Amino acid sequence: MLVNRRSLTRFLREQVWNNRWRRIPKMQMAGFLALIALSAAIFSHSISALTVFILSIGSVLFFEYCFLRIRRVKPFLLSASIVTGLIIGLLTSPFLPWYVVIIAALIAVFSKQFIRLNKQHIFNPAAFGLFSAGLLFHYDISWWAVSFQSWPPHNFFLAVCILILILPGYVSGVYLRRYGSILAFLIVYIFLKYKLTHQATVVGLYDPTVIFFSLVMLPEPMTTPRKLNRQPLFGSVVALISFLPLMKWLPDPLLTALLFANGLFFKFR
Amino acid sequence: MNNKLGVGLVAAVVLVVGFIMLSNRQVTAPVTQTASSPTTAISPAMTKEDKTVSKVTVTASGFDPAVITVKKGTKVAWFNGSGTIANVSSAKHPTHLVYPKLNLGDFADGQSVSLVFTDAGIFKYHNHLNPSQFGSVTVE
Repeated sequence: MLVNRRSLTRFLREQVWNNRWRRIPKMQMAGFLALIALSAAIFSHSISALTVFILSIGSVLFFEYCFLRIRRVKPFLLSASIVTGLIIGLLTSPFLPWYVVIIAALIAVFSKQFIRLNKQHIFNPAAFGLFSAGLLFHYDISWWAVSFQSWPPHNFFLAVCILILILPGYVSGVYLRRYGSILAFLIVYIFLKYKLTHQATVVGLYDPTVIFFSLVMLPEPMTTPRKLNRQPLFGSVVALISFLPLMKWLPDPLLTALLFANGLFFKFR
Repeated sequence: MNNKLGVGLVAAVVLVVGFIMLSNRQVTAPVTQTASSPTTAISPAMTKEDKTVSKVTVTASGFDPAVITVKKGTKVAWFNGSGTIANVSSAKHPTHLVYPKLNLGDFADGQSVSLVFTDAGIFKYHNHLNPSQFGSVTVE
């Protein structure tokens, strides 16, 4: 047998019972994203919201396993895949056909496994999959699960949702030390939004979508600069590109800017 | 050395493009934009009788109708019947810069916002609080 009961038991004991998986940043991020997904599903009162998450996570895990076997790489605990699947589910509208989610997952995993250089993938997988699916099926990225956490919160539940939204900042900003990118992006983005829309209030400048993007997608560790002196430039470039006029012809300004910056900074990590 | 040169070039491009964007970009204030106060909420019955006003209702599932076609100079009114706060913002989410006049903001259940379209074209918008709800106005 390829897997016997003893090895499986030992695997479970190491990964779950000894709580080792909780110390893995990707699993922590997956946990926080799952909380966001749960809060969004509760807020929307929609069963289809839960099915989107199940479909996206399942698709990513399936395609990841298939592509690893094709590349003759031994499958391992795919915590990064769970994160990718959750992000796809958070950003894909529950009203879209089911195959859109699957295609987005397929493209995301393909980019991670095959668009690589020096054993590193170049683009943020979730962003690549969502952007490509948006181009293929002519729809705009909805960000449905990270838009309802408006300010000021109108009830206790929304206040809790806002807190849940910023939890990933612990992993990306503190643990992974990507605070340079995050802060630079937020500063440049808010400044440009103020100059271009003349909104100076907290209500006008606060945007849960931007918060999520800056704390989860922007600082993805494998495709962004790890050196602190390059992070501010990376974050600034993403913010600047997202406001370019040509964005109106593309599925999403934030994802497009991120992918462009991924390619630009690939050699300058 | 090559890395420093590359980083320097990118920084220079960012500064130049940013300067050009901020110096050339003109954001025109909405020509006509009305947001109804609670005491003057526009009801569906009132707008049906007014032939120069096209009405879009915000429901729990989105905008109804999602796609409308009007003539230049027509007033389009969005009535919120969704049971919660709604929002009308121009594409693309979240920058909302394609047609800034359509950034009408939040409005409570039972209230409405409106805009007179003076430019021809196809103008896409969405509910910023739930961007999976979207619509478009085609102005002829």
